[in-house]
Amino acid sequence: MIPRFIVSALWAGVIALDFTGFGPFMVSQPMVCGPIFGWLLGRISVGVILGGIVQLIWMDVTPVGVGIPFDTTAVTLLAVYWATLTPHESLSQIILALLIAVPFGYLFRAMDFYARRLNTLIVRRIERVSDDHLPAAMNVGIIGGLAWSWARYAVFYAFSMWAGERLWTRLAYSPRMTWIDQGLTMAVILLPVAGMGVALELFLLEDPEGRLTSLRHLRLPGRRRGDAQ
Amino acid sequence: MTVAMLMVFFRSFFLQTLWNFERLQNMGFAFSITPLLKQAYDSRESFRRALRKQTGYFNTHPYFAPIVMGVVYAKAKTSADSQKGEDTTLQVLKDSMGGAFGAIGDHVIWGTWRPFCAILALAIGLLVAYSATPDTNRITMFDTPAARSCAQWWIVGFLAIFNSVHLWLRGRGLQKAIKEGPSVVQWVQSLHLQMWAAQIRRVGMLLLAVMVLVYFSRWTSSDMLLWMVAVLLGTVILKRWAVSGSVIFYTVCAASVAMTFLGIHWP
Repeated sequence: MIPRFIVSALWAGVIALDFTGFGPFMVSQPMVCGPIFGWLLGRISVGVILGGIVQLIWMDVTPVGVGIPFDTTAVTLLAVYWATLTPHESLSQIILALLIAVPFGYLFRAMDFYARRLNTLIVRRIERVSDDHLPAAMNVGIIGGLAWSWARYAVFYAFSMWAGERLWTRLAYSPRMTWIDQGLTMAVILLPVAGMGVALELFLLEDPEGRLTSLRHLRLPGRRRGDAQ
Repeated sequence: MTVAMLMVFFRSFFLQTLWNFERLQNMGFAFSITPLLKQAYDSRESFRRALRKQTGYFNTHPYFAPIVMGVVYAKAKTSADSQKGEDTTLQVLKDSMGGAFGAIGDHVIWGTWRPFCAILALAIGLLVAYSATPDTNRITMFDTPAARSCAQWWIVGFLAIFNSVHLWLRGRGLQKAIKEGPSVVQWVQSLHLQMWAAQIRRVGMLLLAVMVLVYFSRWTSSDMLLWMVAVLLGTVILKRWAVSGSVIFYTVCAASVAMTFLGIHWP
């Protein structure tokens, strides 16, 4: 019997390929991947709620230029995974799962940053081959790059799901104050409203790409010694 | 020719597979354009030399990359046919087109079309879910049948609307660029993408207004409506100050818990 977190991580790796491997067709957008992952784990309603909230709140997050954005796909998939661990989910538990998942969006961004540094090494190796072997080397490189993208995401998702499961089990089953439960339930109602505010502000902007390229929220490559000036 | 074009169309989806900090989309571009370059050059030597040149720095919006590929092919084909030798302007043209299309793509696709499609699908899904369960003061999406119909709209609706433009832009752009070469820029200009983007943003705001009204209409309590308006306006102001989504998320959660703790409000 394969553990649930491994099967889920393999699927999550496939979904994550949308932006880094093949496409992008927007399958990795929270409003799409949330319900799909929820359906795969047998709880579509959890995927819909989480996917909708993440999509709206992080509506302006997108990869622009050389910047690597906050990983909303990871946040959605991990939150859906943890929220569906308990047999009966409540609204407060769904938000609790999202509270734990948000920092992982930054962790996945850091992982992607270092993975792309490895891409540089792969590309340099392809460039070193002779002209005769260049087309074949490129084919191998692209297939290898696709496999590497899937494998790194699957491993990172598996580890995150497993590690988060330990924390989640303690939190979800421990008794909570009523006001905390009620507060988190109220957050489910208010978060979509906040998300609509994010979308409204994005539409009100004259130059949305100015916001999208806002360097404050993007991880950019640092200049290293020996890099071209 | 059609087979090579179809292969380039398919291969262009791998543009970002080996994205790297040094030369960005260089390997994806060279990999994608290979079938067309094979067509452009008669000798194997010339093809390989041309392919090697395509491994230089390249970056653009992924949906506009096939247009640049078509232009590179058209220029390469012209210089190969006339046997004038190497076209030194090709790299400059490729870089300038990449930069310009990158800027257009960021504004039109990422900044306008993607949020618009998302809001459209979200609004329709929400309406479908609400009409399936007409009770007020409930989060209807939580019911499995309502969530299922909502998910169908979100997944199928969003992907179909968004990708119709995406795939058309890739396919038609490649076709036009192969045929017209650098003059394809005039075709892109004739699409009036910036004007369409402005119109779409207006329609998007209208849709968003409908979505806000539909969502708010579920809550008859005036206190709750007041809080909702406060959150909506507060978020717009926070976003104006370039506050990140994560900060907004944690702020709303903390404020909700604080409100119930202090007994200010509970819906």
